[in-house]
Amino acid sequence: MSVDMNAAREMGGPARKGPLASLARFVDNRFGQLVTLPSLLVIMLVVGFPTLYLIYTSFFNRDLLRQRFGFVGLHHYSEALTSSAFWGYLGTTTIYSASSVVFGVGLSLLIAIVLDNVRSGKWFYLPVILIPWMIPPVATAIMWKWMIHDIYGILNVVLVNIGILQGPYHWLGDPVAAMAVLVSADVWYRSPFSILILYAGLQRIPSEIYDAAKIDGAGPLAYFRHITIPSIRPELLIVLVVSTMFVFREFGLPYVLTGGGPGEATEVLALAIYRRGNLLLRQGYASALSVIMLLITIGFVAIYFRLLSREEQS
Amino acid sequence: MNIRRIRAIIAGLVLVCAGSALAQPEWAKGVDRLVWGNAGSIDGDPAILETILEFEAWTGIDVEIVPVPDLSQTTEWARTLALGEGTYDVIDVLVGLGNPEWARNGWIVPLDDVVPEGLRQDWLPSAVEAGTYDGELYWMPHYGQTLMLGYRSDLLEEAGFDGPPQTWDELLEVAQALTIDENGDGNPETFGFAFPTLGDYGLWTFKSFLKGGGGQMWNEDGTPAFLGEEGLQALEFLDGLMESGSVPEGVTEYTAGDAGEVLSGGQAAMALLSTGGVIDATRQSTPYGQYLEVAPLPTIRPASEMDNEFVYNASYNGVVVNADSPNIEAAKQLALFMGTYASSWNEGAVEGNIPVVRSTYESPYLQKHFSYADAILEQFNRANSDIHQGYAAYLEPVNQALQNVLNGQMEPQEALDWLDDRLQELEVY
Repeated sequence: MSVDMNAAREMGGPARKGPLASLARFVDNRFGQLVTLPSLLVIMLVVGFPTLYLIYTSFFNRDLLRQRFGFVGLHHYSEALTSSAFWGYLGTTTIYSASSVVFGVGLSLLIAIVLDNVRSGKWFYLPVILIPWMIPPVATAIMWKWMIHDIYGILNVVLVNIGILQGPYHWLGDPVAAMAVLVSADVWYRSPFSILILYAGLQRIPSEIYDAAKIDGAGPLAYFRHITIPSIRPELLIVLVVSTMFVFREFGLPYVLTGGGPGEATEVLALAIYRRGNLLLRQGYASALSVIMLLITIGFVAIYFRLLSREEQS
Repeated sequence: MNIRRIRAIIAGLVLVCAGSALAQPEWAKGVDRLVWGNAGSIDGDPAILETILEFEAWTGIDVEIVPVPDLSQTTEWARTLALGEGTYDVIDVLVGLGNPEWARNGWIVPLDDVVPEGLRQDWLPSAVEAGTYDGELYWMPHYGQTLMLGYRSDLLEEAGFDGPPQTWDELLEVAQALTIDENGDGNPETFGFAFPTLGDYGLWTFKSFLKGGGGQMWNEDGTPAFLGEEGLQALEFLDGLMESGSVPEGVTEYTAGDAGEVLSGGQAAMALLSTGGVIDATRQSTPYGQYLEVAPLPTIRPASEMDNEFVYNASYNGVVVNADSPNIEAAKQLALFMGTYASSWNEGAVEGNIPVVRSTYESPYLQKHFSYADAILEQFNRANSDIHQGYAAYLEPVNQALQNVLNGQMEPQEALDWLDDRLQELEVY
């Protein structure tokens, strides 16, 4: 059991001295660090070491098939940054991430608000909304692939039957449609997390604020703009940044659903890294691409912490 | 169970064990275990388990099968071989995936010394060619694959065709004739033709039409031959097929299994099928299975009139022996066992494990149970596998070029120019 000496002094209690008091002070000051040390060590081992090794590898040629090894310094970074293909993959990743986050968070906010206003049946809706999140991304991709199949897909059957399409459409054969399908699948898969966080945020808003606004004659749009959004800003921030980080690094969904196609229309950075590292076996170059991706992701985290600390100060 | 019967069983077991021990070959003595690295699950290759069980019974060596997922196998094999690990004694892999790099780097050992007289001559020549590097055999072939034409004989007959198409012009004609729009809504219920383009199959489809048009993949000096006239001709023909409306637009997402499904499901009248897929399509499909037939792939002119030695494409799975295996002799014998037993396994052929030993095709069992044996052998006899370094590097760009043409994103010549740039960037040649 720890003893808070400062609290004891403030309460007029005796300030104890001697070895026991020193131990108590030590435990007070260092206990938290002591108990987290094992976890920190494990994290350093399983996250820190591979990350450092990744950075180290990026400075070397590790072309397994052609047996080219050796120190190359920043060559892989300059190769990536001067390659039009790299910027193409980064552009595709940005389009994919931005679309997915904008549509995903927008839809999640809408569903969270609807859910917050539902009077009964929440016990049913909440678990149902979570289902997409429970399904592994690979299974999600396969399911979507079947839904948009040109011959057997239910989407084509429905759209043809209600007259929107003249005939079955090959969704993955068109660059824009393939990206739209990929973003839709991503939104479907990722929204439950956002809904859950935003719904929790909405639960925090006292109903009295809405009542007061109602008396002042505010309408639903004014509620949304002046009460809902400012009140759940921390949750929105978390959702925006975490979603961006995860979508930016997504591999499974594009790999299984579109395979980067048609052509390279949905070739995101994670896929490009996989191909260079695992298929072409250029591990040094793939490591450099991964480090660049890591730096971009760290950038998102930095923005997140900055905005969050600003939020806390305000 | 009475005591006499138990005694008899024990005596029998003792005799069997003693017999096994006596029959144990010299190279197997002192070897307890061999590790078999398998490309993916062994479900799709029944011969492997069957062969390994036979090998274990013969030698008393325990063979552990380690399936490595398709997604990571390229890395796993290269990693373990490059690092000099002896993790896998033998590795079963698509011939060409690592060839010629693995052999050139000394990661795998030549197997010529264990191949008995006569066996090499009985293997399909293109299988031997595919597994050979610098004059030495490194891959012990154990089954082959080639894309063939699967077709609905009932639909062809109804439309008045005597037999399957043999040339590209006939293929286009039959595909158009068999594209059926029953209710006239502009959406065919049955397409004339389907083919696979996803993963390895995209490259195989392209190679099939490239060679069928008289072309080849690589020149003697290792530069690509497919960027020339015949490559353009193959892409233009496939593009024309798409534009004719007789091919489902979604073929750019089809594996050979998907092509087989639309054929057996009645949505296509003809399809390019892998030899394993042919059997699945014909055995498993109802009610069309009985109408499905298999023929060699159409070529630009009848194959019999073409001068080229090879007008079809074939791929093979083979077994290599890790140079760092602690039991190289036993590993070589296991590889050989697969190259003789599995590659001529009659029952396995019926399951889709297409033999690479030519005399197997003459067996009465195979002739009785495998009605496509002659057609498959006919195609294999004029097929080659033309191996080149960097399979994993050129596979994706060739697929992308093909898909760009089929999706209407690029004109055939434009796709070839793009492909040329990409292959140079990836240092394929």
